[in-house]
Amino acid sequence: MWIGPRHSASPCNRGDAARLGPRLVFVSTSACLLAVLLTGCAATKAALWDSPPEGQDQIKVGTPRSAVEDILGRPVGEDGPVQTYEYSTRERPNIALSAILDVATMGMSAMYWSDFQKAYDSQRVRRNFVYGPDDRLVSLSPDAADQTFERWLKSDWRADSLELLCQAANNGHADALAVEAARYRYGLWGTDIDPIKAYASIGLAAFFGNPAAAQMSETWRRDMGPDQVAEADRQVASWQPDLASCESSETSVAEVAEQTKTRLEGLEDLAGGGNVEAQYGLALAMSWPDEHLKWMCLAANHGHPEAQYKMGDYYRIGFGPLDEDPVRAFLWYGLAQANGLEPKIEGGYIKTATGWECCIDRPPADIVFEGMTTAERAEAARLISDWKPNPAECEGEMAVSEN
Amino acid sequence: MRFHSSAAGLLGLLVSLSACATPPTNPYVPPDRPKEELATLDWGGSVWSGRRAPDVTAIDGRPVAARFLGSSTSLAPGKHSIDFAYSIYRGLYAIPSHSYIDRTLTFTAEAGHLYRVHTDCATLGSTACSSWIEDKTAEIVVAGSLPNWADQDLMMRSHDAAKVRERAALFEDQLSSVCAGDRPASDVALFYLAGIAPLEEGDLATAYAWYRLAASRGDEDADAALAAIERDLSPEQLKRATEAAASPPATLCPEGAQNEPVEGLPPDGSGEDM
Repeated sequence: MWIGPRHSASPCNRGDAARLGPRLVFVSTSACLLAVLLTGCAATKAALWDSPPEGQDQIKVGTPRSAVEDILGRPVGEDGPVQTYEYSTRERPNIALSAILDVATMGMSAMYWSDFQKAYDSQRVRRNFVYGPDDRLVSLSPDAADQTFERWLKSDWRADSLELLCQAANNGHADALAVEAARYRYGLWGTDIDPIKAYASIGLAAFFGNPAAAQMSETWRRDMGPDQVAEADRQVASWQPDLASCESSETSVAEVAEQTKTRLEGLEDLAGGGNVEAQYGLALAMSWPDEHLKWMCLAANHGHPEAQYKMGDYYRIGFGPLDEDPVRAFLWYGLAQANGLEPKIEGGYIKTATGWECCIDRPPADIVFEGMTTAERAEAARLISDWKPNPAECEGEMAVSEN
Repeated sequence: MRFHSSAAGLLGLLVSLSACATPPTNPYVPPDRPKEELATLDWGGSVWSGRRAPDVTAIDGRPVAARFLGSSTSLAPGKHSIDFAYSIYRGLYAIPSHSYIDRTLTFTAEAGHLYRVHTDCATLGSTACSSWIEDKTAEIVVAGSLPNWADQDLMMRSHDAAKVRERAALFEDQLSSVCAGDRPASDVALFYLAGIAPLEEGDLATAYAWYRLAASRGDEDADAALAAIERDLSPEQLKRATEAAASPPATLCPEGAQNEPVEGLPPDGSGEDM
């Protein structure tokens, strides 16, 4: 237990403590200390409060990391290219007014210590910023980029909203960049295949944290020349967001949609006029099964070998509204081969006496032929030798099938 | 005799107390299963510890016994709705002037996890309250919203976990839609092709199988992509891809989803899982 000196330095004693007894000195000093402890809450918190960093408005896409950290200080967290900064958003309360509040409430502010703490914590925020390969700001809002990408994923027809994908990718969204890479690698949505752009995009996707990108990059690199790799690496190193390109992308998507519509209308005109390539193209573009089968059947009847092969497939397995018919399957396979189509070996199930078996490792026409009876083989041979185009069967066949 | 009269008095007191406490109808009963197969819900705490403790009043719409009988219970894994109430204290804790507020939060419990119901208010200036359920095992918030004065690390962890859950739900939703024929199959193919979340790696063979399904439904883009993807498949991948593509969609789609057949494939049968 502390007993105060006769001449205490405490401002509460005011030098006359010597005239008072030791007990009174102790009581008065203790009361004074308690009062200081109780009444300092608001003033103490105000003193500890940070002010918002100055120059926040200078932080924008393209700002170097060093400039950002001069304004916001060191990041409190780091996850690859994403840095987390914490700073105050509200002005510091007036310390003098807080002290007056403390005195006026005679220690009651201590009761609100936790609320003062909450108020202090509330005015501090954390924000994630994304930096690009050249250490410049790419995105001030990775969450917004994520929402944009999800909007694109959820869109009913992704090809019509590629501007969203572009925006997310240009905000350094790793998954969006991986999709862009696949788009250029595999020519998705009518995009021209561009190995350099694909490789650069997958490199960026890897940089921004797509877990699959590094492996893909390694695979894709194998079929690229050193010059192509060097050019892609250069594009990655100097990459900066280009949101303006997304706006032009929006225009081109509209153009592509218009072109597609025009092309479909043109295809219908041509196909209706008997153009076999147009009939096959229209079959591929049309929804399954009615329109698709109708145009496929017409193209097959007009001698399109790919269409004939597909008709063989459809009859082989009894696909959609068509019944399984090995004789007609063999007929169409045979016609396709007669028209110059090499027998295909591709995966698929084949029906045998014991059920469906995987996988087809021989031309399906051979397998169909092996499964046919002698009478069926004779019938198939007769059909092939007597075959004449019969476009009318397509309408009739479909109508019967629909019933 | 004196002993008997005391015992009788005590018995009378207990009887009268039990008469006051009307048992709830159809109360919540914890599942009778091994502890490791259950989750724990806790709502304990005290105002003196600085943590306002809510009272859980019902679980899945079934009333929970009064608080003094306990402040935790067991839950079966799965989705649950938790009704609870809490007080907003104004003034000194010792002399509370408060109002009572009811809330309901819904979350999905996992076996072996401990969940805690929280509520917290700031009463300086205007009153602001938040309620949330924290998975103490995973150290993330699974329901409700944290107040803006909450621990920033917990806030960010929970935010990230919520994004992962949302993406997984989006993938499952699109998978079901594709299998029901309501979306192009290439939408699911893209997840595998680009290795985007929730998937942790790309799978070219599986992407190929989905594009095959898309192409069989007349997707011209998918037809074009198939040829390009084939070039990237190694002989082993191509074998796997053709096997996967040969599998009926029943093996590609979640159980119970309405499937359409894939071109060149039987409408039913068995195949390898992908």
